[in-house]
Amino acid sequence: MSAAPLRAAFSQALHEAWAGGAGAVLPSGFFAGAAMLVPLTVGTDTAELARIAPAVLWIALALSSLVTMERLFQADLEDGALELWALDGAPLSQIATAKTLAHWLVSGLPLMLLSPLLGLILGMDASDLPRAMIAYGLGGLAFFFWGAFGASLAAGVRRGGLLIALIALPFYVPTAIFGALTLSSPAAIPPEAYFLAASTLFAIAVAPFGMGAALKLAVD
Amino acid sequence: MIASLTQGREFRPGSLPPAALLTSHLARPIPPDMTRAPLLSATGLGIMRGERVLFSQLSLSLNAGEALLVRGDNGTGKTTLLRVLAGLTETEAGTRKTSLCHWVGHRSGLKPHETPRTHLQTWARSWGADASQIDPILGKLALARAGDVPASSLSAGQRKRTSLARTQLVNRPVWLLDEPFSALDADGKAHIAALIAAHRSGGGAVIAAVHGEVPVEDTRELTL
Repeated sequence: MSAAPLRAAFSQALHEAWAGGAGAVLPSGFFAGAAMLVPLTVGTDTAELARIAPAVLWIALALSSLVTMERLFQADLEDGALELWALDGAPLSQIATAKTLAHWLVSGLPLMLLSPLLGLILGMDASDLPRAMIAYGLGGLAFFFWGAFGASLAAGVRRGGLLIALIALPFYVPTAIFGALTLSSPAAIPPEAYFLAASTLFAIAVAPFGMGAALKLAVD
Repeated sequence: MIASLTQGREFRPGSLPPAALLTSHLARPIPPDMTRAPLLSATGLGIMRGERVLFSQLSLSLNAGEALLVRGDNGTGKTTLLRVLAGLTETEAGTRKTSLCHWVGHRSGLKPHETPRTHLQTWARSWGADASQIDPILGKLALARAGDVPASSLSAGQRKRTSLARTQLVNRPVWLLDEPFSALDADGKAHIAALIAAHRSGGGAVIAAVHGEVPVEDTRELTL
């Protein structure tokens, strides 16, 4: 089997996400908006705000990863592209992986790049920001794969956005726990960071099989 | 060269296929090497949608150069039969065997921001086809002027032509076409008819779900 179908699926998804316009802006806007609500609700204690800032960003990241997930596979199902991918070339699990990576590149990577700015606004220690950004990048990748798994199961469901959240959020738990522990530890690379990375690898390794099976059912 | 079709309406596992038997002889001579194995064959297909039996004990085979038109009222299962033959839908009963096929469904497969040109580029890349033939293909289907218009701004007929243009990228023996002539003007119908004729004379076979008069000659018909 050649990688040509995967490259074609990846570039098609990338092109479609860029041309759509909202791909990068919507999740980033949601991420910033959700994080900026917190200072308004927590009050004026800046030390308290700085203490909870990493956790706030994890929650905002988890939620904003779901913002544009609904159309990831549903659009393909509706316009018939999924039928073509199902018939040709690579297994659907690999096509789904290529599409998820393209989606992450457009919608997920900007969240990672935005996180230091939001951390700074919330009062996080500037020296913590680089490693926090890497942690949010790793965690975000896991969130996107589990979110895409939810999206594949809900592909045939009209207004399935909430369903995707219900399916995906339980899978977010290990990543969220190890992510939060990583950032609350004083060490530069605490042991929890390895568990965070492992949870991301697990998502990348396992979610595609679920997506492939779910999409095959959706096409049938 | 004889091809046969049997089709029944009742879904009773184990019952004998009902008697509706259709035979036809092709008037057009076919080169001898095309007459060996059928390009597509299916036996004892049965499929249900929910509690409803769409068809059962349906058998068909298609040889090189043949065209089979599937007719029937709305909801009788024309699309489902084509999807089963393409391998998109699982059947409740029966087996199918087919050579490589092109699927052109009711839905075009174009993404909203794809133009006919980028659509063909995507599939040429995926199938390992030569991208330099895209311009001639667009010309052949009268899409040259619409070649760079995004799909969301194309007419239904132009989207249809684009999805049919995929069949020109790589040569595959069997074409499965769902309503290939719908939404097309007279000119478009003539273009598609020419593609189908060229495909058949090159040793390919076509199965198409159709309504009404279609400009395809020398066909067999299956009414669901």
